[in-house]
Amino acid sequence: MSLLEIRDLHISYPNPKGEFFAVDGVDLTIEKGEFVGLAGESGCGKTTLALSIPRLLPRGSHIGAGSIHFNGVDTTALSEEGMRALRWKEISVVFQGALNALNPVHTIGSQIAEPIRIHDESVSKKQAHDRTLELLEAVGIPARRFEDFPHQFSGGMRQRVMIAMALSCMPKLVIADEPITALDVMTQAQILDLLRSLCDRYSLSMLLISHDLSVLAQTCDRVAVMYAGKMAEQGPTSRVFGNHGAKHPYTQRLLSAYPNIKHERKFIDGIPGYPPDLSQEQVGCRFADRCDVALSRCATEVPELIDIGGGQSVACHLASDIRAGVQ
Amino acid sequence: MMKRDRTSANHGFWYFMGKLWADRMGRWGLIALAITTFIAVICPIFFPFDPSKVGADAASILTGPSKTHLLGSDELGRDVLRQFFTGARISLFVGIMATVISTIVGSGLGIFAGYYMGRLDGILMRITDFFLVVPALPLMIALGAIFGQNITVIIMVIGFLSWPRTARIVRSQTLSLRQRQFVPRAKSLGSSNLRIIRTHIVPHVMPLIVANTILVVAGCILSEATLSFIGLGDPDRISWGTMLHFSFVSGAIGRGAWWYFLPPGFGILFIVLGFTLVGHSFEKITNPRLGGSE
Amino acid sequence: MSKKLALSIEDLHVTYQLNGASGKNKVARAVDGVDLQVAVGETLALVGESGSGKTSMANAIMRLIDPSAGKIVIDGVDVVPLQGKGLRSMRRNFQMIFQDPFESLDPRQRVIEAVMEPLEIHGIGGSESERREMALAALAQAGLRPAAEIGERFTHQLSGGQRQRVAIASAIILKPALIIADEPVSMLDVSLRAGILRVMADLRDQLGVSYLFITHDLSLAWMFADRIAVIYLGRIVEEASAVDLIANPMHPYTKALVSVIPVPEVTALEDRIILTGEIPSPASIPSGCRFHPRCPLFRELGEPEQCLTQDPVLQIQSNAESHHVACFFSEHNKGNQ
Repeated sequence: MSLLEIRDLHISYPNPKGEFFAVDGVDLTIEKGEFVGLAGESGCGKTTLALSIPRLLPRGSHIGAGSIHFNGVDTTALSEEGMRALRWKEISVVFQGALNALNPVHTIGSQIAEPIRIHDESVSKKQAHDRTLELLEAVGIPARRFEDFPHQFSGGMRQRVMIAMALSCMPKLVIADEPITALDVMTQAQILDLLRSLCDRYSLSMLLISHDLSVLAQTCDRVAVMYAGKMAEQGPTSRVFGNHGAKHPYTQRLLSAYPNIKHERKFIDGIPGYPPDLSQEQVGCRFADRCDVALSRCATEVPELIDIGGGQSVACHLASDIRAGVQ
Repeated sequence: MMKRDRTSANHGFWYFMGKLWADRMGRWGLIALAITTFIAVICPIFFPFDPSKVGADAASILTGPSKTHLLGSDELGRDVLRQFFTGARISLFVGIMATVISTIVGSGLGIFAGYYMGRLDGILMRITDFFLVVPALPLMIALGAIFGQNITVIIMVIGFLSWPRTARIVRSQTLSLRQRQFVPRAKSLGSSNLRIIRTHIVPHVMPLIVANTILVVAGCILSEATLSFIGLGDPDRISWGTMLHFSFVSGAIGRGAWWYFLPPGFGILFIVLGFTLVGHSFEKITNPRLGGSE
Repeated sequence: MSKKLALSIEDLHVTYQLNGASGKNKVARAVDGVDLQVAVGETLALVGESGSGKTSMANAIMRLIDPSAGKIVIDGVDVVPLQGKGLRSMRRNFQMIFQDPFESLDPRQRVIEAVMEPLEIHGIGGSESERREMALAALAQAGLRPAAEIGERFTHQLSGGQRQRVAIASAIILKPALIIADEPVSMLDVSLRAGILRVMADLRDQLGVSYLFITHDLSLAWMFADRIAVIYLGRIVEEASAVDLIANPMHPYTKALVSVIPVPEVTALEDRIILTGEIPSPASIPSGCRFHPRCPLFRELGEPEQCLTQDPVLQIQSNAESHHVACFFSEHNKGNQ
């Protein structure tokens, strides 16, 4: 059994013209101990998808069809009470804005210790303190900084505090929402290494959300790429970024939008046009307008996410044609 | 993607009137203002008040409402209704003129202090603080006593004592605009500071200034009424405050001559409420962050 | 001088007065003695982490802040002593593209007004309609088509990519000799970056614009610039042609930065050099070589005295043409790439 299994999930937001689906029929599976990267550009629905797992969506959003099975339990059927028991103990989140998420008037030590005692009342103050020191060590913050306040930390160090807080109850799944955005390259590398090593050390499952596909290539076991509320492609990092290569035209184009210093210097490619307006009715493949290899059926038929072998699946008519040809 | 620019649309006069009308508070305010404006501007044309037209004998003094005097007569036997119409005109005139002074001084100082920051800001804000804590009423009394009971003096005194609040509000808005990157951009294009203020600061603070101005009018009318009531008004130009003063002095209140003191009293209440409602409603429209029922 | 320079910076210093909580006045040396040249038609990338002083440099060159010492020669004129009207009229020659297109355009302006504004400021173009024509041409040049239709919109109605194109149009309309582009694509989605950079590259080819391209992204600098200068704590530590600097970094800091550049493919993680700690505060710059507390080479060589006491200057490397490094032991970094 997988740790997390999302099936055909629909999440809508109200809109003056009715409602629009930020997540529109998405599947995602995370195994125990697996490090999964979720990529996509702004507005593709990746954060909505991720925050639906601990049910931390903004007010007004609505989970329509679909299911989220965590450890075998359908969390969409859980009461708010039941969800609260899962949150932080089983599923925790590292939020994007580390500065805003920390309380400026409490020491970081007390902020890490707090959730430990909230979620398990049997833990003594002393135990919580020891646990906090352990966590600080794990995320690479010297124990002497226990009594420091958030403003005394740099951006990278604050992000480490956020990670320690997320780990405080030893959850099974950690969702990291753009944890390295706005950090410097060197700090990014430090934080990614930290996440990776924590994942291995505590056999955590990790869902790392990033708009930066190139960052995921070096850290994740598997990547999922979303486009306009749908899953475009997902598969093992070694396949999508390896010789086998990405198969969805969107992923391919996105990858060529990054300069690659390992290759000959050439100008990066962009993708012409803009993502579709999801408040409008969508017909056919959502990428068709911007796709330079679109077929006529792409404008009318929605491509299904199809397994093309090796754990890789692609939602593209071309990919399914390739597969049909192979068989 | 549009989240940072909610306050930025360019709209004309009728857009705001429509918005005000759609807001319950704004609508009542507009109605109140329309009525008082009508009273102040139109009525005195058809029913002019002649202060010298006093009653012929003692019997015509402080008489109740009758066919000849719809709202009775005052202690000199003059028509109260006609006084009420003229009083509206003077109250409104003093309130608006004082507000013009207050807005020009307050917005000007606020924008310059907020834009130039540093030492100029320090000096201007200390001056503002001084005017903010000066007890207004004693000063008005003192100035009124020195310069005489003249309508121009009253306007000046009220105007120069009511700008600090405007200056503070405008300054803080300007300070935050100053941090937006379009200011350094305009500078790097070669704009002079005055040009930046004119093209990039003033249009942004304008809605705030307008909302604040409307509220200041209410305050100025009230100040005028207070000054006049305690006897510092211009005796030649009767305002609602002056009417209250004379009704009080002549003992109309003690004699139960309600037709003399109730109309100006309610008039002041009505006009101040009108400006306040419109002002707050306008503030709500131009600054959605203040909340409300939308 | 053999080649014509669009920008020449000599010994530039920018300092800030810090008012510490303890009451002691500390001085932060954000830019601490920088020399740089950008030739006409050339693109120089200034690469650094946040806190490296790259933004202070941009603001000083744009004269948005006053440098405390040094010369900034743009198109032959030192702009540092200029003030008031003289400075304002010189501003035609150097323009800036700001990082955040959501903040740098006045949301109350129409697109066409934003682009015509520089013409009005400098009194260029005989009439309103002539200015309008020029603005529409600039919009089209920046890739906003149909220009007439987009020109009528308010800037807040545009997407980030479109706004950045408006910013480009209003920067090029004055035909400046130098454009400072401060992280022009870092706020944009990846798929839109190429479009913006392509427009900038076309302008370089067609109009001969020189760029000072400021970024934290070494791979983008490598892709877009002719030369790269790496700045650390207010000082240039390495400068070379873009290709050479990435292929053969010599300063230990550059070497580490290059090793952690993310690439969109599966790579061996073992080769990466991850520096510990973070860039120190410009109010307390370490003695000797300012990089020594984080320098892997310094530790590897047994903490040589020289690094602790002497401040290395940017020097040309003997066997590499126009490759400058500020490190006493850069020889150790050669050839083992």
